[in-house]
Amino acid sequence: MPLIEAKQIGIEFPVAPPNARSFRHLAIKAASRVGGRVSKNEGSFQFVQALDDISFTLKHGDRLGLVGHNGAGKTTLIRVLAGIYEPTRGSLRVVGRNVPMFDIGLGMDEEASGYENIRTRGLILGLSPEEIEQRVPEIAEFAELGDYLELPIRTYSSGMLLRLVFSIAASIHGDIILMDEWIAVGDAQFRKKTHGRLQEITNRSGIVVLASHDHGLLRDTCNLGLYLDGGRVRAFGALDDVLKELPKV
Amino acid sequence: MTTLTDGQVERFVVADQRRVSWARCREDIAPFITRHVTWRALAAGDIRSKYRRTMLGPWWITATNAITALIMGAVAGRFLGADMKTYLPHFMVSMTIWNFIASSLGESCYTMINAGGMIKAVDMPILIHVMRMVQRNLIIFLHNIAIIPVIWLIYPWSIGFVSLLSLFGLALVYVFIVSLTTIVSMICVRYRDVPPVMNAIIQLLFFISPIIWAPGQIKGGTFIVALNPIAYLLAVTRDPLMGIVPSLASWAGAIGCVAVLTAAMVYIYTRYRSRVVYWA
Repeated sequence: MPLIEAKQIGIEFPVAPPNARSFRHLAIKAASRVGGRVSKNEGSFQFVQALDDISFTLKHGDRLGLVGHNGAGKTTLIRVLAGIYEPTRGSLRVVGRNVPMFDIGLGMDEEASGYENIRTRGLILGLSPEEIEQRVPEIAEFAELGDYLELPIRTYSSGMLLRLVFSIAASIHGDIILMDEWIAVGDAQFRKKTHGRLQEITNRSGIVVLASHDHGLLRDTCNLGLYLDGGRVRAFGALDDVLKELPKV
Repeated sequence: MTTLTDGQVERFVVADQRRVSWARCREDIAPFITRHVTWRALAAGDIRSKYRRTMLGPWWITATNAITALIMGAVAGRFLGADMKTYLPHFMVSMTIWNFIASSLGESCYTMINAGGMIKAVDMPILIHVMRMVQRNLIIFLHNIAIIPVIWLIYPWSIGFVSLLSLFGLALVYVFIVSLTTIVSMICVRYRDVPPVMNAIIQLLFFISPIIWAPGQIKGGTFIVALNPIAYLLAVTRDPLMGIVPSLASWAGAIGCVAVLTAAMVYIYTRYRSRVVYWA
């Protein structure tokens, strides 16, 4: 059974001022320590507390909507759950296979054909070549790009590229869907199709975590809510209760 | 990442694990083997992509190496007053192995920096980025050595079963490169002054390694060679190929350097792996 167990997770981002990464500065700092020259904290790492003391448990069937202002920590939390950032405090247990539905276009090669990019992207997502081959027909069919898949993707329009990228991302199977904003791509017809596909994916998976500002969408998709404010949990519980906590616009 | 009894994968992370245990090392280094399909296929794609729409494709690598051989053969051999028949094979074999080391080391400075976007977006062990880069250079190296048999046909030297020893040497060079570039790429993403310094170091290494010269040819040559890890690696790879059995000291030096470096890499990787995403 899929499970996410976050215990007092904290994330501190080191923010290097331009100097902190330079050897010259380190040397000056070392020298000034000897000579007794006082250098204020300038040039040393500062930290941004992106997440602070986040605890929650998600079980099979839970659909969590992440809400909060820009910079509240929604994206960071999604990336922590995806295993990209290791928490600097607390602990995290994730049981089940992740399906990352964010930054879905990374690692594509302009010069390579659509088919080649399906394979590259599949490899990056951790699929074996056999698993990728099995999925190619399904992806090709969904993207509706026809013979274009034989051409280098630099010949695609941006809408066509998004179709391909989405089709690859949507072909990944797993128990935990992590989504940073609902994905809407393509023209009206394809948009409807992606919406249907995303609903299908979220319905069939064990756990969904969706960060969004769209309350209507969150009500349609999620049953739980987590309100982040300045990296801290302001409210966690049934979605409707959490949405009530948000400041009125 | 562990697999549970019902086939589910489990990931359990506790923050700020500074203690480097044997179990953590094993788990972190595992993608080297478990994900070899990924980094090999990605590297092959890189090479295909680079030589797309060219006539010779990756054989351009071989062609440029042949041109180097021609130029060096015509100019440098005479300049150093050496006999072409012995000098050119020595130089070309050394240069080909050196290029594998030098270009991997040079690229490693920017491996993690350039992969920053991907490191922050995909849950993929960062070792894969290094392995992809090394694999790319291995493919280039394999195209480069295609020139050696041609040189052998022009200036034949004696080879025998002893030449097979160079495969062991090559395995050592490979492990050396993987360990060194993993460490360098992690240092470079943290301290952005290192990449330009590294360029200078690579040039220095080129001149203090017996590539354009042989240890007997210059004053103090044997002394420099005794302190240079690259010289040991060259000795155990190049010498068997030239029909010479490397001395026991060369083997000991090469294996020693590789062992120490690999141990350092495993420690540094396990200790700082999870920090790289914050530095990238």
